[in-house]
Amino acid sequence: MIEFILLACAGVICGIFTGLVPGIHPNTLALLILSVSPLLLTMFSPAALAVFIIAAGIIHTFLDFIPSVFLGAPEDSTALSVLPGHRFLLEGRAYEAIFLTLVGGIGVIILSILLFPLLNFTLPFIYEGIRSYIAYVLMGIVLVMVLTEKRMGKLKGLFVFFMAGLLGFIVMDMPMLNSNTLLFPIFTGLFGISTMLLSLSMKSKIPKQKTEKISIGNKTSFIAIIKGFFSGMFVGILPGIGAAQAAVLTNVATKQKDVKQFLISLGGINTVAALFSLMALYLISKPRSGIAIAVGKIIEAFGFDHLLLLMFTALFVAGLGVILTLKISKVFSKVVQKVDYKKLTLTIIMFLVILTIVLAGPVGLFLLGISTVVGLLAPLMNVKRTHSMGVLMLPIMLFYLGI
Amino acid sequence: MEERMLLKISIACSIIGLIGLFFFASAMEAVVVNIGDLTPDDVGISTKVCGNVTKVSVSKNGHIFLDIEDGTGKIDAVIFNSSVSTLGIDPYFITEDDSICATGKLDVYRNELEIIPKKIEIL
Repeated sequence: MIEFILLACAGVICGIFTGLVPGIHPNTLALLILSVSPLLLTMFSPAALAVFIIAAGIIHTFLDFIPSVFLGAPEDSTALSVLPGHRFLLEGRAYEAIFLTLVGGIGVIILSILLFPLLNFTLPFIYEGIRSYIAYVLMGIVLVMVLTEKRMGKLKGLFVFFMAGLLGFIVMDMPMLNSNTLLFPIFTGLFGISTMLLSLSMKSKIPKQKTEKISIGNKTSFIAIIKGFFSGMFVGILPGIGAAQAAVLTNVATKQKDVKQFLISLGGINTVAALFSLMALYLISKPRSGIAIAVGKIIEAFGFDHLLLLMFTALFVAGLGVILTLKISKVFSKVVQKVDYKKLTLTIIMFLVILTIVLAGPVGLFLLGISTVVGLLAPLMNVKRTHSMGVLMLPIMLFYLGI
Repeated sequence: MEERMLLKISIACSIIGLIGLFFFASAMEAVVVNIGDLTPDDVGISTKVCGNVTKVSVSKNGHIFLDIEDGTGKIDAVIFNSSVSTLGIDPYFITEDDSICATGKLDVYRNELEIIPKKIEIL
């Protein structure tokens, strides 16, 4: 029993680390744990190890908005928060931006648990209904994403999508690469380092940050949480779809313009997608995230009792996640004006380069360079960064089309 | 919603989550069962049995077969070579008359119940 609580707390500590350091994804941590699981399983039970992975993964989804908003250094799932987040930062409202993502995060966790009995019956039917059309659903999503761009942006968006897709297609066929560490340099380059390089060229003065009297209307929160919940369900069921695409699609579908609602939804999608990937593992036997893959391999017969254990773990750490993120954001709000932004960004880039070499060797470093160049295409062409998710979507589409 | 309200909701979530975690973690910890009480209805359930090892044999492929007796009955424990490294101890060191506890799923082979240990403790 104590083993479960201790491992949940250890997961929280790891999640704080992966959440605050840009470019480190909880999937990387989960796959790292999977690679040393034969040793860990001699010390801990499989269920307790799964509790550790979920705790780290859920905490990560709360904290990863901090580097995204304060440093402009996101990963794929928080990439869309950079622009509104940075705008809030320049208006002295970075803490408010983080607060909004937390409202979404905790809201969707509560909603997922309340709706779980219903989802238990409906999710397998929804999946069965779209299973044969996944490639076409993904194509439709790409089309909608491209059509959200203005005039020539449509062609530019398509170009970025295909360039990223080509990168994914070539890389995933390279035999010398370990699939466990393959995604780290790619996503770090596409969404992490490329954004930080651009933020280095910005010379904005960061004003004093406001951390008091923050609030949001209950109705606005509720609507945004519902949108985040359904978008997250979409991410959890469909392969290759990230939180950012789901957020854009929801915006298009609901014609949403409110930035506050957008940040709440994005905070919710990010968290509920992690939870839905577990539900997908149990209900349709399809792990839709690195975390779910690791859990599915560690617990061979993933049953209903395991799912409930992990959902309550998620609820436990989500509460802690909100409290920790608010505290850490307050510290960031105080020091962000004093820190040498350029030096900090350069240090983080160096750290990510070293981590890439350690995890993926020279090939990983080469991939990091290529991915960074591809990642720079979208912002330099003034189109959405989410087109770079073609790196996963194109190979998955081709796979489902049997090509 | 204000920050204070968000904090209250978060604390409530953590407490409910901790209670749920506590409850399901307890349910997941296997309770020691008398071998004689095991029935084919228990197949597939995670079970813990404790007793004396009365026979040890190792196949050419490295699979280990143990007979465990606890006074109420006898059960075969089958340790496949693929799971040897994840049991918590080196099972090749288990000898006859050792007292052990084996935790794992119950299975049926040729109409006989057997346990496939995931964890073995020497008492």
